[in-house]
Amino acid sequence: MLQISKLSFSYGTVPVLQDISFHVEKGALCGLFGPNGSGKTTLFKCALQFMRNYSGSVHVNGCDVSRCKVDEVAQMISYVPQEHRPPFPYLASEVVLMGRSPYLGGIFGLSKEDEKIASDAMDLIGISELADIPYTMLSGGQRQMVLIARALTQKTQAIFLDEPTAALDYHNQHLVWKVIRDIADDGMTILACTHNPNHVSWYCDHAIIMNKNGIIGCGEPKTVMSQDILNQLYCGSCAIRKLDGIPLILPQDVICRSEVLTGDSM
Amino acid sequence: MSKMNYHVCNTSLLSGIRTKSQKKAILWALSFILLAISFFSITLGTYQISFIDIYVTLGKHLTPFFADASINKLYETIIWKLRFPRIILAVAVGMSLAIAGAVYQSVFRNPLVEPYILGVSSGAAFGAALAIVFSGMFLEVQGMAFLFGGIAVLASYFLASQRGETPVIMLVLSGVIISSLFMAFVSILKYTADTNALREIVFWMMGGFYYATWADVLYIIPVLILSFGILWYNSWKLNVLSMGDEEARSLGVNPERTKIIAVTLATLITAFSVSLVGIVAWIGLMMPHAARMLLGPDNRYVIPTAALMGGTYLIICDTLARTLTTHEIPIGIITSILGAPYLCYLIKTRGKTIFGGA
Repeated sequence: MLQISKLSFSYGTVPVLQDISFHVEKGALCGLFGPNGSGKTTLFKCALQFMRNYSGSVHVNGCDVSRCKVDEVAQMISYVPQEHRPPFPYLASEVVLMGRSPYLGGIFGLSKEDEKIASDAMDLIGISELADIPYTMLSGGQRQMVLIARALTQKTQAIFLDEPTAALDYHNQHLVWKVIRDIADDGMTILACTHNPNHVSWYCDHAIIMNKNGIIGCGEPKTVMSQDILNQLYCGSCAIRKLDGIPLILPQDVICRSEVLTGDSM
Repeated sequence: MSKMNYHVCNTSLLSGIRTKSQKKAILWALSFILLAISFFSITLGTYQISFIDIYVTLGKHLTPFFADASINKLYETIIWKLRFPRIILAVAVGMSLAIAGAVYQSVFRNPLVEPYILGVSSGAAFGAALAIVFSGMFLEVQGMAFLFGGIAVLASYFLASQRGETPVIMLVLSGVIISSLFMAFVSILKYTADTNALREIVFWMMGGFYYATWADVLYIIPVLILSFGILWYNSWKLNVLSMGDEEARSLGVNPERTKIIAVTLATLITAFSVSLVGIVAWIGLMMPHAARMLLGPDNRYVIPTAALMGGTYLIICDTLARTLTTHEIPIGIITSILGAPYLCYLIKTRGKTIFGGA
C-alpha cells in the first residue's frame, strides 16, 4: 500500500536520511518511533512532497507520488500536523472543510456535497458539537481532533500524523490514540510518528524504529520493542515490564527507586 | 467523544450570523449603504446646488432620459466633472486598499499587516517626490509614483526569495529594509527641495482626492474589477494558505503559486491607488478587521465585505475632508484620526479573539 524505497535526503552536505525503505500494509496503523533528530520529520516531509529533492521513491498503491501535482498528492495522502493556532479564528467546521481543497473545481468552489462530507467526518469521530466554535478557542486535544476530521474529509488512502499527542494531557492523548485506532480499524492506512514507546506498543499494528543511522527495527511492536532496541535508543535507561500481559516501558531509575522503597518497608 | 468539554465563545460581533443566506443578506445591505452614501455625498459641498439639479445632471449623463434638460453649465461641471468622479475614485481606492489588506493579511498570516508592508508606499512617495522636485523634466507624478512603487515591491520580493521560496518572515524583513531605504531617499529630496516643492511633497504623502478626474477613474476601475475577480476566485485558497505553507501543500494548494498571484494583484491595486491619490493610511489595516468582526474570517466573505466597507469609509472620510472646513484637509489625516480610536477599541475589548488569541 505505502511503499518507501531507498529514500535518502541531506540538508546541504549533512545527510539526514540514508537508504530508508519500508512498507505499510493497507489498513495498518504503523508507528514511526525514534528519538529527536532521527529524521522522522524529514522522512514525513519527503514522503508528503514538501521537499522534492530527495533520492529514492515513494509509492501509494503503486503510484509514484513524486510525479504527482500538489493537489494529486493531497488526494492520496492527508497530513495531520501538530496542533497549532492559526492567526485567524476560523470555525472548526471551516477548518474541517479545508480538507476538500484538493477537490476544488468550477467557479463555485466548494459544493453542498463537500460540506456534507466534512460534517460526516466530524460526526464520525464525535466532534460535531464543536462545529460552530472558533478553532483558536478550542483546547489542544479538540484542535487535534478537528485536524484528524479534516484528514478524513480529504478522502485519501493514507493519513500521516506528526506526533499527534505530543502537546496533549494524559487523558487527551488516549482519546486521540483511540480515535486513530478506530480509523485504522475501518481500513485506513496510517503512519504516525511519536516519541512515546508505550503508544507504539499499545496502539500500533506495526512499528518502525529509527535512530540517526536509519531503521534499526521493523515489525510487530510486541517483538520489535525489545530490551535490546530500547538499549540502543536510550542507552539502557529504560526497561520493559508487563502488567496483565500489556507491555509497559518504564524508566530504569523509577524501577530502582520503587525497589529500594519496597525493600525499606520490608 | 462526549467527555470533551467545550465552551461556546462568540467571535463575530453579530454572532447570530452563521448561515450563508444571512451572510449574503449582509453583503446586499452593505452594497445598498455604499450606494446610498455615495448619492448623499454628491449633494454635499462648499458650493450649494439643489437636489433636483444634482439628480437631473446625473440622470442626463447616466440614463437616456433628461437628455434635453437644461442645466446651469457651472452646476453640470461641478457635479459631473468634479464631484462624481471624485466619489467613484474614493470608492475604488477604498475598495482596492481594503481588498489588498485582506489578501496581505492572509498571505502573511498576520492580522496586523497592511498593504504598504512591502514598500509600495515609500517607493511611490520617492517616485512622486522625484517628479515634483524635477518638475522641469516633465515627469508625471502619478506615473513616477506607480513606477517606483512597483520597483520597491519587486526589490522586496527578490530580496526575500531564496531557492524558489519566499518565507513570510523574510518578506517582512526585506519590506522594512526597502521601505526605510526609499524613505531616506525621500528625505534627501525633501531636504534639497525648495519651499513650494517641499510643500507639495508633504501634501502628496498625506493623500487626497483634490485632483480626481475621469481619467483616474478609468485607470483604476478595470484593474480593480479584474483583480477583485481573481482574488475572490482564489479566496478559499487564501484561507488554506493562512494555515501555513506546508499545511497548504498537504491540502493540495500550491503555496508559492497562490502567494505570487495574490501578492502581485494586491500590490497592483495598491500601487494604482497610491499613485493616483497618495498615501491613505489605515484603510488596508482596519477594513479587513471590521469585515472579520462582522462575518468571520472566511476570505470568501471577508474580501467582498472589506471592499464594500472600505469604499463606504473612504467616501465618508473624503466628504468630511472637502466639507469640514473651507480648505481641503488631506485625507490621510482624517482616516487616521477616525481609524486609530477604532483600533484601540478593538485591541482593548476583543484583542484575544480578533488577533487569534495566542
